Amino acid sequence: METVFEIRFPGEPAVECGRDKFYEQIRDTYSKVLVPRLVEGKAIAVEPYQFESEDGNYGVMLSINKLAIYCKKYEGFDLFKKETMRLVDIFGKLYKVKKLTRTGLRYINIIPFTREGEIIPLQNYLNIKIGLPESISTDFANLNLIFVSKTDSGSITTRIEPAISYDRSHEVIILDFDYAREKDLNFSSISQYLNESHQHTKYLFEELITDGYKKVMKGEIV
Amino acid sequence: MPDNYRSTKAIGVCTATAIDPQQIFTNRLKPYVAPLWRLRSQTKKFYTTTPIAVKVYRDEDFFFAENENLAVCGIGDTPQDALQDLALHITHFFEYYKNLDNSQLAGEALRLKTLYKNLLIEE
Repeated sequence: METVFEIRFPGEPAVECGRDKFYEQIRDTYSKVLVPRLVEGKAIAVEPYQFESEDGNYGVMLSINKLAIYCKKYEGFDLFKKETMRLVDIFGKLYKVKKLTRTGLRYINIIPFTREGEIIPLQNYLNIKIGLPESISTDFANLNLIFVSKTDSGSITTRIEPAISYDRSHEVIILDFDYAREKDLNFSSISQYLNESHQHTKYLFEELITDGYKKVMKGEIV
Repeated sequence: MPDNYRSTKAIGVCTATAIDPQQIFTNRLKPYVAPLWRLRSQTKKFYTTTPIAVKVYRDEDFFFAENENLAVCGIGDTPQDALQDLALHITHFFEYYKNLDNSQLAGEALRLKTLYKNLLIEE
């Protein structure tokens, strides 16, 4: 599972001009510096610099209006939150960002699956029922779903799509959750937003995954 | 897109768009282990009481589907063929060990008999 928490704020030139100050505070842990590539039609200032740990597991992305912390091998929310808040605190002491325009917590789950014949046996993995007229089979050989659900204070985007490895030997379902808030956001409440985002995505994940696949995740497999 | 229209682009994952899940997956070198819940022999269909872990990988022109714990490996020209070959091996050994008494077995064979026992239920 890969996890990323991102805050967005009104463009702050001090962040753009002073990323070295932020990096100086974290360089012991994040030794790799990855610079953005030019993307045609996009301003370079909004493309993030990436600072990554030596093992590549944790990373930070920073641009004029965004700070994101990601983790490639998620080992629980408490650990992720601890590191995220440490970095957010460093950022908060260096730059005068008070208002946020968006917060987003994203979980990317990769679910390996085997086909039954040519069919993706979605019901073994996900509690999703797609109601279609009888004349249309729900034995899907492929599918791609994306939907946005509203919550009291934000929205969750859920994306479900299959992927196949380059050598075509195995396939996975990519289950991508993105919980976002976009209204009345203050820098000082980031911890609360992170908790709330986690609660929503955790609940959705637990509801969406079948009991059978939960057992597989716990290692109950021959 | 029809003339005079454009995509609303209203739907999309917006957080850290630089992270592409397809890229995460395709960059991975080690194959994943996936669960197998149902399998078919030539004449019967089974479901498993506990999912069977299957590692599917490619070596040159062939695909392999294996479970080291059950000591079986299927081979085929496609991943589906390899999986079906693996299913034939599993159902074969399921029937084979079912008909053997513990007194006829020792060591690894006893371990396998225990594993195969009650592994499959005919549909």
